[in-house]
Amino acid sequence: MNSLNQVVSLLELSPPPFIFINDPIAPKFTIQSLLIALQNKIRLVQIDGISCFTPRLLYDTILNGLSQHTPSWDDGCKNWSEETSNDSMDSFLRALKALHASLCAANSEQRERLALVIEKPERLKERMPDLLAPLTRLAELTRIDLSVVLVSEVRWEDIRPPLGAAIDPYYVDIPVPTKEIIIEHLVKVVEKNSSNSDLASTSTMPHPYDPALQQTYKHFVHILTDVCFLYTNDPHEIQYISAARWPGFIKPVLDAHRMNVEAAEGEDEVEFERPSAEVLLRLTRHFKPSLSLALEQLYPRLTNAVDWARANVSDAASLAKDGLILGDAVMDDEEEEEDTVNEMLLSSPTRSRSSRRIQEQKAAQDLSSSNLKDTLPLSASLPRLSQFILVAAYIASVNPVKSDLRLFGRGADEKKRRRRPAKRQMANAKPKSGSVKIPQRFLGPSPFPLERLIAILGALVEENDSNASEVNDSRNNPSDLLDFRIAGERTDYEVTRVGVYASIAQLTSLRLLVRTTSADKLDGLSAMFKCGSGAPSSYETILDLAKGLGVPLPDLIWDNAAMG
Amino acid sequence: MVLKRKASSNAIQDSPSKRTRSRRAPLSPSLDAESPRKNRVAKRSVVVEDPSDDSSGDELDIINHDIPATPSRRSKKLVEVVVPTPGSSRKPAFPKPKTVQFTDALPPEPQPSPSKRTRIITYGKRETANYSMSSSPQKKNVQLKTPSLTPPPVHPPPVPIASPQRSPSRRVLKGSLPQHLHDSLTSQKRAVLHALQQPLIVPSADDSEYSTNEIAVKQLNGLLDGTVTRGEGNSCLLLGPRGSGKTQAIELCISNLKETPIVVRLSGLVQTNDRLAMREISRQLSAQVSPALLPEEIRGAANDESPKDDDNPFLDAPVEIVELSVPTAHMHSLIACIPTLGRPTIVILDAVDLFTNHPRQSLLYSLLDTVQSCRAGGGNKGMAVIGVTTRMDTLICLEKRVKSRFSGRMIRTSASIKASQAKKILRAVLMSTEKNEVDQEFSAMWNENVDEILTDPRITRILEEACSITGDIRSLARLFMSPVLNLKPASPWLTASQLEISAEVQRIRPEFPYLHTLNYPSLCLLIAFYQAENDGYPALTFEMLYEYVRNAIRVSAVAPVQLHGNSIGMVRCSRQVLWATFERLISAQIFVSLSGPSMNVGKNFLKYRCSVNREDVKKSVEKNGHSSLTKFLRRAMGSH
Repeated sequence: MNSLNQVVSLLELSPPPFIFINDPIAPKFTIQSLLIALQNKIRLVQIDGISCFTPRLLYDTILNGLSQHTPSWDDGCKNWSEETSNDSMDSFLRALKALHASLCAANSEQRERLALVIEKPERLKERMPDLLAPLTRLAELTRIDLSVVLVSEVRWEDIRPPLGAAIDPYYVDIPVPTKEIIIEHLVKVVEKNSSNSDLASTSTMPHPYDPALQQTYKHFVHILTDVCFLYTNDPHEIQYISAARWPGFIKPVLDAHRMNVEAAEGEDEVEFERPSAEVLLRLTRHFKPSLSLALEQLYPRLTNAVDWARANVSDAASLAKDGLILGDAVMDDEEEEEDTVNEMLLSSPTRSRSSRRIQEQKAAQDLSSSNLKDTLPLSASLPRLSQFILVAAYIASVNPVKSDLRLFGRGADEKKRRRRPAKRQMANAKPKSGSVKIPQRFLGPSPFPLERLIAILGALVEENDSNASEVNDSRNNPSDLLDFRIAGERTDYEVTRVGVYASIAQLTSLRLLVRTTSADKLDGLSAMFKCGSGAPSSYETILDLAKGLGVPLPDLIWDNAAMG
Repeated sequence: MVLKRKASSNAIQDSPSKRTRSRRAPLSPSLDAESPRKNRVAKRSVVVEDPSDDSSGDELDIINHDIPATPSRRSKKLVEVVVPTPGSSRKPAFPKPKTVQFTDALPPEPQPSPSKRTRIITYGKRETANYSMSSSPQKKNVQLKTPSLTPPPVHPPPVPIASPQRSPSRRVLKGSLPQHLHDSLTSQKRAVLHALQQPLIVPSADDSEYSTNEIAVKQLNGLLDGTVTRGEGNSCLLLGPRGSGKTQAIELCISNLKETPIVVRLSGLVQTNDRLAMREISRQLSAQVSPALLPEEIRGAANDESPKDDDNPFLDAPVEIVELSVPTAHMHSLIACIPTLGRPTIVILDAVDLFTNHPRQSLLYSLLDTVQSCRAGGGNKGMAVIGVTTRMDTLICLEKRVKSRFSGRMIRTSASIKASQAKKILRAVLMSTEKNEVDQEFSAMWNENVDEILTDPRITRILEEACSITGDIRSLARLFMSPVLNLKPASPWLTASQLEISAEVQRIRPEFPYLHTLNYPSLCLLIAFYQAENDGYPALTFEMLYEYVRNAIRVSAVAPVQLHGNSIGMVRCSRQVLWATFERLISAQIFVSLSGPSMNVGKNFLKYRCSVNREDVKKSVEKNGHSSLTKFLRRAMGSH
């Protein structure tokens, strides 16, 4: 935080026209700390490079922010300046000068210092490349006491406009936050919020962020940070995980207190006291496994904090096992017994208790996670034929064309198909010349023509679809008008039905398949497709699908070699 | 604090080399009547300061020994202070007995002290320099002493190392600041920071010939003077690298003029087309030319009858131009009447190379044509057009018809300053004060500190390095910003080591200074990239990276290694967490996408290259010290 303090004192004392702060981990956190530290000291406006995506928006945001003017609906959402100050850079500069003059006139005893804090300046570079150079020279162009602070994850070298148009910044490197800083931040946030009237006024019962629980929270934060710090050092991410877990973590303590209060029936005040060291230890032991699960789910934002907390409420039984049903919980006793009986019936004795609990939690997560949205529909919601089409499309996307005959071709002699022996020596195999061939699996799906898809689909259905072959046999009678004599002829007939094309069209509209040729081409024969991005092009998903269908997918992938 | 740690670590690490050095010392040619032991003492102080700087140490020694000895009590104290340092002993393995021996040996040798004193007298030319030379090595000694095994008799900060003839305030210089001077420090900081932003060109008085910039100022002065006083039409280009004082020179010249001209400032960065430039000209003219100033004939010439603001032809007409965007011919005629305004006009075109990109260069043409046809007398005032640019080929960029109207005058500024000159400027900057806000006592101490710091050999080296590459005084000034900012009442003086750190941050920036502090998944991905490059893949998709990391984790899990009961294998890392980390690295542009995002290609199949140097990855993983990561890296290197 030393570097940040430097910036703060620099802006207070005498700022250079242009400061560049490089913070690779948590620029938002840095900006927040900066804004809090400089509150009421200088006039500061925070600009987001994402929301200010046109010059006009940028100019208006700066001017409104510096003048602390909020456009209101009643006066027609007027901006600070009456005239059109947002039509070009020089109008903006004039407005800025006028603003500074008016601020100085209003506040005569001291000179007003202005500062712009710009977040994500790399977006400005993408959207308005001409604007960045004048922005860095703003103080020079307006000739007022003004400082521009860019805060970015990206280095200045990657943003810098060409030809040296921008002046060199005063560089500040924010170091990666340490554990101590993160803990300090988390505790501070809770301290600030614990006195929040919204939380306190709801009931007389202590809420999870009660000031009395501060010490416990500190302990919790230490544990949480220990778990998460290896994977992320963004204070905001850890704060998010903490917000999801803490209420559940402290709930047994609060419940116990509530029971005590109810037992006392208002006769005498039951003093709420913070949990003892032993209880804390039990809580820790009980919830520690869920912390890393929380990280895996919440850090990549597979789900949100509320849903996760809901899905991960610890049930009374598992709490009781860890001795966490505090107070005299008479009502829960029976349930608890039932639960334990059930669990004893269900679970094998060899399995340890904690591992079972993790599994339960995992199962709960699987249901709540958005992974589900990818995997479940494919195996459960699609008709069987569509599943076959997806598997066929994956094979067609990944395998080279020349391999088809060897994998699926059946000669008259019924020779067993041969797959090229997978080359396992990927790493050692140095290319003779040119670049190394990368397995298609890692490069993503390649497009294939529709006929190839149909052909592979036919082969798959013929070999693996037992239902179809049974039907084939049973219906192979003269009553049917069609007469299939040659092996596979019936499948061939089946897979060229209109229904198949309709399924392909449907999958395309679901974007599980992607049509790479333009859609207005009516000539269906030249249409090219490939697997859609996401689930349908991931090996794992298709493998699951294929297992359900009984297709030996690993045998049908041409180049199965692993990397590295 | 940093300084202290550094010094102590040096003392320990460098002891072997120091040993050899002190053994070598008797062989040095500078040896005369002096005892070798003294030699060592003097040398030590220099060596610790800058272990790499051999020559300077030797030089100092030579100077020491050339001088006749005069004993003094103060210098003896210095020797005592130095003695307990383990580094000063010959055998680092047994520092204690040696030091004892050392102290025992002292009394019969009163000579060492005099040399110290004489050095003070001869080395410094001025009083201030004199002081700094003598005190800086001493300070080092005291700081060295702290980590030594025998605790020093006096605690470091208040050690009265200063020479006895100094003012009593010297004593305070090493410790923290007394309460009543805190405000002074703050205002001194403010003053210095303010001055660092506009470092003034200090005229080199002692040099016989003028510097390039002084010549430039002189030429420009003459040019503008001709325009203002004699009504000439002048045009010139002011060329010079960034930060070489182009704008400063112009402002200086304008402020020196006897009559206040109308100044129109345009910038190629802001006025990106002629329309905007024209509007800006009209705005600036109307702001500076009040109707009262306008002569009667212009007022009559104006189409409008009313004797109000509208009298100025530039008030309305150009604005109409903006609205109607009339052809450039009209613009030309409007610019042509600039000389008819009541005062001489100076048009400054910043980044003039960008104006040459405008279609047909019509603005430049109009301005230069007006300048060329400017005739003295007849009520017309002069007009000057000054183009400011860093591009040397700007003249070539001009079209033929524009070029023929340009006077061809080019004034150059230069950014090559010598280290000595830079030192002079910085001295002036660092000693600048706000009026009467700084306590006399404090400013005396401060100035001494500044003088001391500027004579420090390390700072000299930094300045020389910087000046040999860039002469940009602004970037030199930037180096001093962070040390000044770091001043606190507890440590109120500038130090050389702070400047070294600052030089690394501001000037010679490492590519990714934070790399080794990145978290575990990030480093995993970086090592995976390293391995992939070994395997001959310069660009990778996330799938491939994931495959590498997964393999590494699997391999590590196959043969679990335990150390003190803890597994030191690679920690599991789920695909989703890796993906989240991967996206963070993309947003930090450590991984750069080779192609833009597309609807049809999944994000995990886009190809990325790594912008981190391979060597940096290796170093940062080693610096990070995570044992399983180091192992991963070794495997990655081995897979080659």
